[in-house]
Amino acid sequence: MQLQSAQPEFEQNGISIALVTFEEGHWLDRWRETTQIHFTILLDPQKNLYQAFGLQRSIRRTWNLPTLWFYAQKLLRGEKLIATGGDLHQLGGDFILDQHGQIVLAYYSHDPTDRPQPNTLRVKSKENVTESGWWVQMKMLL
Amino acid sequence: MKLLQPGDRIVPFTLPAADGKIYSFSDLLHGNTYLLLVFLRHLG
Repeated sequence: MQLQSAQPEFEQNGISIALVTFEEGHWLDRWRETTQIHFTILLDPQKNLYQAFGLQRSIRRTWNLPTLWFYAQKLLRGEKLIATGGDLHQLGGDFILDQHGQIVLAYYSHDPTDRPQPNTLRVKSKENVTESGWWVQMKMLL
Repeated sequence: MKLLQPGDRIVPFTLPAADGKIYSFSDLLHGNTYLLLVFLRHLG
């Protein structure tokens, strides 16, 4: 995950990172081993936090053309598709919250392949707007 | 289901993590000003 390489930049801007997943057990352990991710991974198997943030499930958006192409490319590279038993149709998202729990940025993925692109995700920090008026640009590759 | 927008405030939460610890929202900040929460999709 390219987010990991950008972590120092996030830290410099005063931003901690945590992941949330509904997956558990063997598949999560395997994913952590494969990705060597060292972020805090919150476990939400009942998807209560997913629901609290308004993250939707969608069969139609999960099996759209971009997603099918994404999986086709994986197969063409010789990678295996894994059925973890988790909810295939749960969509993800990215949120930046300030220290008071107020949303600064909300990004809802349209489909499983949709994540913020490099140089397109800009966060307007309240402090920066108030004090200097400049934008904090974060080069996020999720 | 309500979609959150900038300016909305979340209800404080506490969740277990893969490292076996229990984290509250403030724990996750680690003294920083902001928290980026990345909600993953299916891991396959």
